[in-house]
Amino acid sequence: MGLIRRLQLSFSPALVLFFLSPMIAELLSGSSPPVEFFNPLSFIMLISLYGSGAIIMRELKIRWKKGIGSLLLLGAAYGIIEEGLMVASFFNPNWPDVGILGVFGRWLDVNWVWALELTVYHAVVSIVVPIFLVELAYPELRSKSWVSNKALKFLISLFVGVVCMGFILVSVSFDYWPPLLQYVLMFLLAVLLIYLAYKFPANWARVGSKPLRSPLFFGLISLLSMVAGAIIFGILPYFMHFQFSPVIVIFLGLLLIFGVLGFIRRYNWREATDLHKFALVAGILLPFIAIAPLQEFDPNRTDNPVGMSFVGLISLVLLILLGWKVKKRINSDMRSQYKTKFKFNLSSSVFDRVLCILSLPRIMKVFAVWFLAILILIVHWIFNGGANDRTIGFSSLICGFSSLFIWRFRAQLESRVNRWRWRTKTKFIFLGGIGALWVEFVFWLFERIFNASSIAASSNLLLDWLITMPWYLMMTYLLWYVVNKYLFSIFELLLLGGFMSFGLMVF
Amino acid sequence: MKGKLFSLDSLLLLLVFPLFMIVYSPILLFPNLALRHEITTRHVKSQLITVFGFKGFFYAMLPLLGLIPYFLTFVFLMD
Repeated sequence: MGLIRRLQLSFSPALVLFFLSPMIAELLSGSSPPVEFFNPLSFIMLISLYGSGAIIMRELKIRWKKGIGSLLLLGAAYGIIEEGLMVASFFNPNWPDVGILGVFGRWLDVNWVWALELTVYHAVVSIVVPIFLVELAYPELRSKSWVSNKALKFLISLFVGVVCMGFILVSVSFDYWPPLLQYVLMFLLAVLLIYLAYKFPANWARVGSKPLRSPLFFGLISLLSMVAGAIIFGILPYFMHFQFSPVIVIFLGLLLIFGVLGFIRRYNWREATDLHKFALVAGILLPFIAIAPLQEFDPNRTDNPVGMSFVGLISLVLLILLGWKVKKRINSDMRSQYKTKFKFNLSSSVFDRVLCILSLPRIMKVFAVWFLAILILIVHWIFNGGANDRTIGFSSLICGFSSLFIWRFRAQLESRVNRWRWRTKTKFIFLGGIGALWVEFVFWLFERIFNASSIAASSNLLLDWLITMPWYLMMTYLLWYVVNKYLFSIFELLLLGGFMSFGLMVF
Repeated sequence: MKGKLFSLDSLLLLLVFPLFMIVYSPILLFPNLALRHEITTRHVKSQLITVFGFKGFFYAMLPLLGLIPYFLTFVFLMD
């Protein structure tokens, strides 16, 4: 992690994004395997195209103060510029990667199914995913602009230059010139998408009210969406040969895209953590990582896929490292939040509390399991134990419920105690004493009910109190000095109580 | 005391440590929750020195000294 921190200091996020976008969209996807990707000429071409494109789209989003909705539209515009205007694969039926989609869904000289697939692919994989990853790695710079106006102008010039040069090179080398009208319409569509991104509401993805699910849930949603997308665009065209089948494929594709977006948008993303965003991105990348080794050993490939396994492995390692870093950061935030909320500012929602418990350090999770085991033991004692076991089981449960009751009505309790005109120290010892009297009473009562023995200090309640109260009062008195030295969290107080009770038992 | 602390019984008692936490929770939570703002205010106002870490762990064990009167009462009654 130290290495990552050092790298972060050395590289600006814009530079990381500049290289990451082509690496994901071309290298990891297998469109340009290592031999092809690292060819100096194609490398310069790819990073100039994808890198400048991703930075420009992010800068527009930040400078226009927009959200993920606008970024997706800008990504779609990028897809149209690259595939429609630069390489013209939207129109060319013999484009190397287009395969069956050069015939299937081709109408008015446009490969419609391919065009839809590639527009969505570039919007998500080339633009949104790399931007999300870099923003997760640089959380403190997330809402800031990463390049100066001068650098942005240079990147726009570079992007336009590469698109124009690429268009001429590809058209000449493939001897294919796209139909003018369709080409102009595609250009206008890209402009329209950029305009829509400018006008799109910034809080489009943040209006949902459904309680947010776990990061794993959203990771699975994005993973399944990728699989479904691959089936719709990659497999169905080979099996659907009846009339209007391309219309069905396009309809299914649109249904998947808008269905998934609508489904995710229903949730309350204002409560989302970085782990949710990471899970969404990881779900998109995992299928690419999984198929990378398969690509290397695919005998049907005409290009040289050597090194794809290594690319997949490196991607997996980097993804895990980023996930680890994000989780560590969330845990650290939650821990401080947990300390604040559970110390003396107890106005947190149930969701927050559950999230805090889920984000506890590992040692606390182990403790939670231990605690659960003891609760099971108590239930076992109550139903199957002897008289003494039942007494301890019932009494412990009542004590636990008493604490929950105190916790639940702490605000009312506090306002009432505030009215007492005693010194805080006196109130503290008095209340501690009342708590001790209650605990002793509960144990004494259940000892009587179950006819048990040797649980309470005496079978006479008054004598029991007389014997035990000096200890409790002295303990509370000393505790007063300790709480003045250190502000305990609830868990620390419970732990302290456990040590005191244990000390008494050992004694 | 030392011998007892390291006996098997003590180790078995340690296994049910969360039970001890539950039992003593009303005694500790009642005053601390009821007076949380007053205690926080005291900390903020008087800039009390916060002790924690390994040293603080032993410091927090100070209330165990309360066992002394219990011990005396116990010995007195047993006699």
